Amino acid sequence: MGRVIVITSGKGGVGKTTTTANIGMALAQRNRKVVVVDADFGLRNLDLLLGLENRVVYTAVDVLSGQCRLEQALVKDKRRGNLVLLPAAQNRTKDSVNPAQMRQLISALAKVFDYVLVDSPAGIEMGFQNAIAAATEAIVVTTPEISAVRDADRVIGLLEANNIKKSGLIINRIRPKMVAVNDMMSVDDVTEILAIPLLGVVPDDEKVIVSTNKGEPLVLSGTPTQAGTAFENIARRLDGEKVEFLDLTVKDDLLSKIKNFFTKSI
Amino acid sequence: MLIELLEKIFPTLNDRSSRQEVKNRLKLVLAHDRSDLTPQMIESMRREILEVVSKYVDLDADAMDFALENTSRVTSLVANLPILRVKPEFYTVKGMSEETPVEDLPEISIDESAIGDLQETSDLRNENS
Ligand SMILES: Nc1ncnc2c1ncn2[C@@H]1O[C@H](COP(=O)(O)OP(=O)(O)OP(=O)(O)O)[C@@H](O)[C@H]1O
Ligand SMILES: [Mg+2]
Repeated sequence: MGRVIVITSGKGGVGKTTTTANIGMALAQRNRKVVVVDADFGLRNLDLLLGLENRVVYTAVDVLSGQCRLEQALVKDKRRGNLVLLPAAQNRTKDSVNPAQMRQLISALAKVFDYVLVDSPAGIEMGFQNAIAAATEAIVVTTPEISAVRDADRVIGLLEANNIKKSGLIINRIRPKMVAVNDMMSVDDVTEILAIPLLGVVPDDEKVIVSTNKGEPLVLSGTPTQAGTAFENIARRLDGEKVEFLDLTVKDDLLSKIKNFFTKSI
Repeated sequence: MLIELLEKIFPTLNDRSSRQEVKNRLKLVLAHDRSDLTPQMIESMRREILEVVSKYVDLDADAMDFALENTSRVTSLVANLPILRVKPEFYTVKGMSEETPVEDLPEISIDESAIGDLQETSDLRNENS
């Protein structure tokens, strides 16, 4: 049986889909058999981030309604054949699927794949309930902002209440320079408040937008990027490797400048 | 030495940073979110607890503090109720009441030669057992 991991956040737009696409691809690069499931019914995006939008024929809803077989709905990635996407329906609402159906779909996938990554929609309503229905693990994505952290906290409580005991935290879009001048919560601040194990830290990186434009997850790009490396590290940790956290602290902040000034002048 | 001095000075400056402010706001809002207690429930808890405590002691109303706190996902109700004094009717050692005149008290005498006798006998008993 493969691992079923839901990627969720509460607040919208914090980077769930970006995370799912990149971790999915990075795990596939490690030769794992991976399926990424778009559980954002009505607002699907995962196909775009993976550059697979033109190859979507059937969706999860078609499988559930018997229009097609599960394997017909799965879109295989050309760059990495061991990564496939189960697209969400775009023309249906979140209520067209229920948790029992999700469990059915996903348990079928878990028989074949090492990893089933479920990209959850924002919110804590039906779409979220569907996304977590079959998961046994969760990745909670947040940004170092008050509303995102509060929503993440709410989601962590709901995951616990739904018996999903294993959760890891990703802090996305951290801006080291702002942390250095005390205008943004640090990784330690957020981790201490949310009190679940830290799985990774991803810096705010313009390259993320470029990669989205191209439909090519950052972990695929030949030249290493900070965010890409961060996602690769997360995939390695998820896969059981022990990987040091990236050092994202800014060395040339005001305090160190003053420190340097005095050390030099002494 | 200068660096240490700087580091000592800087955190106090940083306390007013937006980072510190957002942490404080978050901690407070999460303590409430996590506890599922409504403000009304907290207020009536506060009132009832004060009522009970005030039966026994006088509290310093200005310095009182009553808040929800949260560490590692466990919410606690932290009340800081500075006690000004215990209410007289609950003094464990009653003060000498003025109505008892000194003359009425039994005289107290002392047998100088017997000082320490009691301790000796009890010491022996302890050794034997
Ligand atoms: N580390 C990053 N650096 C820069 N931009 C980022 C980063 N992570 C995400 N973004 C940008 O933030 C936006 C939202 O990302 P994404 O779609 O992954 O979020 P989401 O949580 O899936 O949103 P939704 O709740 O709508 O599903 C995108 O425009 C994305 O490019
Ligand atoms: Mg999304």
